[in-house]
Amino acid sequence: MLREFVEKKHYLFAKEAKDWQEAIRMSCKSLEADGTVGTGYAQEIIDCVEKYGPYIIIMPKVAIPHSQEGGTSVYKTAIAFMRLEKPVSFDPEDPEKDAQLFFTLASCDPNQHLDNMMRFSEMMIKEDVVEALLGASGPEDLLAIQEKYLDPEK
Amino acid sequence: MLKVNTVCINGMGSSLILKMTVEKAFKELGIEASVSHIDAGQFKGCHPDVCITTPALAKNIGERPGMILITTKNFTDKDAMKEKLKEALHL
Repeated sequence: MLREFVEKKHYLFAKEAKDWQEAIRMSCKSLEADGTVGTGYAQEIIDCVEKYGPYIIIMPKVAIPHSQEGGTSVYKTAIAFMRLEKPVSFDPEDPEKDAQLFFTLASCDPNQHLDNMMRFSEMMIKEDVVEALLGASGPEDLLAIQEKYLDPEK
Repeated sequence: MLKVNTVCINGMGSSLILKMTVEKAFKELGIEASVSHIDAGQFKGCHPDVCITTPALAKNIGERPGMILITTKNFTDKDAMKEKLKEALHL
């Protein structure tokens, strides 16, 4: 999965975001660049989070920005990666809702999305992978983490 | 077999990840369970034995007679989920 992020250029490494809204816009950039999502997708996600709260934080430091299945500005099915050097806060009263790793979900094909999510979930269940991703600073780190923890034993 | 629903806002992100974590936890506990993920809107018509969701959504869903409601903030922590299941199911 990490190799796929690099091959498809679905990744972004950035210093910081001024607020969570900007972080979500940034996290959608690599998906916008190749037409996986339209420019409206980031705003759809922001609207959803404003309506329902930060439901996209799935574990400490990790967010999975997404709106609804078959959102109007989603054209392909993919996941994009973003790491911020400085975590951004989603809820000033709850530090557990700070996020540093973003996996932005785009889905218009439920089967492919399910396959993506199974691989994603297999990856996130490994604590050392999450730890390594928190310290990653470029695409070469993603490839190294893929080889070290995720590729099948040679 | 236990009927289990994992519930999130729109059924494509958190509830799907939670479903995979919960399935692994049940498997390790040796309990047969059928786990399906669903969005909060559709859940209104569901009557599972166990419902697993976020603390925020649990407030909307509310306690129901005959249903065990479990909440979690971490959707990938299988060991913590095992403990929650053990406690809720009195294992």
